[in-house]
Amino acid sequence: MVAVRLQGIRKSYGTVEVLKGIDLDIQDGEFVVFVGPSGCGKSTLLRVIAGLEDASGGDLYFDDQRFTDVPPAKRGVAMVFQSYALYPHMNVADNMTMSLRLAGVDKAKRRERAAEVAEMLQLSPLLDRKPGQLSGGQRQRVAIGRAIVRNPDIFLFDEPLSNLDAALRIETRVGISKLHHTLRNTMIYVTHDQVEAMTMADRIVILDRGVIAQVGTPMELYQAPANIFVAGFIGSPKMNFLPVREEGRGDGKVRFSTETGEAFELAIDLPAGEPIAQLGIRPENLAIGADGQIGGRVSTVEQLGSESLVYVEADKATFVCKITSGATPKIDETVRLVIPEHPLHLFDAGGEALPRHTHSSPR
Amino acid sequence: MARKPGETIWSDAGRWLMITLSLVFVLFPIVWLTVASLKTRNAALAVPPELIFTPDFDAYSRIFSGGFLGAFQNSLIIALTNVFLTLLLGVPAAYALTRMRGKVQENLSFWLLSIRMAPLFAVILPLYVLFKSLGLLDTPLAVSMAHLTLTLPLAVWMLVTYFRTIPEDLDQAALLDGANSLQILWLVIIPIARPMLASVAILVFIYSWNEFLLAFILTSRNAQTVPVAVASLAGTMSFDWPLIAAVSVVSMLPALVFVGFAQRHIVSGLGSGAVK
Ligand SMILES: Nc1ncnc2c1ncn2[C@@H]1O[C@H](COP(=O)(O)OP(=O)(O)OP(=O)(O)O)[C@@H](O)[C@H]1O
Ligand SMILES: [Mg+2]
Repeated sequence: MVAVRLQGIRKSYGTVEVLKGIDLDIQDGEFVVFVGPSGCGKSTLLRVIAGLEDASGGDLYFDDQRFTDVPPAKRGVAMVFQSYALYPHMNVADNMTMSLRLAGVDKAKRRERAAEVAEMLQLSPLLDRKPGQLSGGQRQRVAIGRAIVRNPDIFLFDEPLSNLDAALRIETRVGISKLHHTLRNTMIYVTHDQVEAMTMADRIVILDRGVIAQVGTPMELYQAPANIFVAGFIGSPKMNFLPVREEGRGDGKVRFSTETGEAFELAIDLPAGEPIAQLGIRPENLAIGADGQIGGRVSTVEQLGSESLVYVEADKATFVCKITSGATPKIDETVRLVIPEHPLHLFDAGGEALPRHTHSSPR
Repeated sequence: MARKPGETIWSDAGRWLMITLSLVFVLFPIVWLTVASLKTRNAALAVPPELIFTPDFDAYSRIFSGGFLGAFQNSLIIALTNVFLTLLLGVPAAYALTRMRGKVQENLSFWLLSIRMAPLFAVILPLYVLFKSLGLLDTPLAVSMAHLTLTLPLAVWMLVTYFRTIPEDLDQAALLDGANSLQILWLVIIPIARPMLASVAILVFIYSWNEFLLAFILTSRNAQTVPVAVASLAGTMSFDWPLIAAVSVVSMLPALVFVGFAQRHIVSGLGSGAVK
């Protein structure tokens, strides 16, 4: 159980810079999720922490001790690979206790420890099987067991659920969360699935092309995304974005016009600064109503039981409304979209969120 | 053989015919050799050949009296040494080649093999001079090392291809478990690659066992191998056909035993279950 500190971590492969200076503090016992689109450098960052890749620059501290040059086996980290990476020629018990064998622990003790961990993961009847004789979910648990056996300070997970089917994924997700509650170890978890990130993380680190886009608790990221990238990445369905031109502000009001010539006014109180270039509205905050500011046409309606998703073509883009009550409009119906004043996300031309004067306002 | 749906008795018959033909093709020389080894010297060369005759084991006893045991011993030593050295040097080399990154490593295994695309005659003379100056001429070691110049690149090339299919995640899992490179190789890679190691061992053994030219050039009396000894029989005035046949038949035995032994390691499905 240790705190991890990353200072200006860089990694280049040849001329390609994959990590461009990562600064991050992870608390002792925290469950941190790295999330981001494919190729953004999540795995690379995890492997730098594990010591499987050398950083090209920057430093890594575990509990204020510099660990940048410590070999992987001495870092007290255990990693669960996306591919599981089980030793195919060894049975489950030997797979899980390979680290003990290499540390010179005798066979009886190893078997004991394997049985102990297998008990935790419901693997007891499978101890003598080879990985080839296990199902995907069982292999996954053996891989986690191998990490637990080592009693590491830090658990690293690289997309451990991506090879499982949907049901097993949820089950294992819950299992890993439980594990964190029992063991209270520092855990770093990589995924590109924002639902996994939202449900498991104490804090989420969003990576975008080798830089940190934002760090925060799931709700912080959801309610106050720092930029368009984060706003669009967190939340499902995605946040709607409406490009606008600011026509003037004053009196706590801002006047806008859109590309297609719609014009409207919203009560927005914000400090002087960059003009607003885009409005961001989450689907659950976008309503359909006669007094809406922009007009559009319904293109698709998805009934999900407890809610409906209505797709509206408006202003040369598709907007998604999540409707939980009332009548849903029909396809091809002409509707107007109601842009709320709260919660409404504002972005400047560079995609950075513009801060509003905070006033607690009910929905 | 179970018939698949839609197949008639004729496709069954066709299949058996093909199998029989290829067996005849492969086995005929062996049968013929065996038959010849059991005839007397005159009967062996009789035209037309006698189909019915009393077997005569005289040729086999002459293997012992004629000093062939030494040749068998040499061949065995040379082939086993060669298998041992090839694996000892080839496995770590191939492993290193697959796990090191860089342009050079990527192409090195190919260049290793390409060395031996030159005709054998181009290397024989330098090898002869080399071994002569080392005082190793006419020793089994010289022949083994000469064979190594072919078998080592071949083995490295085959093993590189195989090691590439072993996911590097396994190495890294072992690394995190506390293994050093040698332990990763010994505890993870080699057990997984056992079928391939067995195949390489078989090929190398057979090559070394049967190789003639290098063994002929580099040995004179003490280190003569079976193929060289057989060839020297053929050159003598009295052409002892049954003896040649008998030596050939016996010379197949060690190879058969070795292949049978090594083949037990070629079990499929061992590599499955590592990933995914
Ligand atoms: N060994 C390597 N050599 C060159 N480039 C590499 C290497 N490994 C990774 N990269 C590049 O680094 C970038 C980040 O890779 P990384 O594996 O960290 O992505 P990721 O965020 O884990 O993506 P995914 O979600 O697809 O796993 C990618 O653009 C990839 O092409
Ligand atoms: Mg990855």
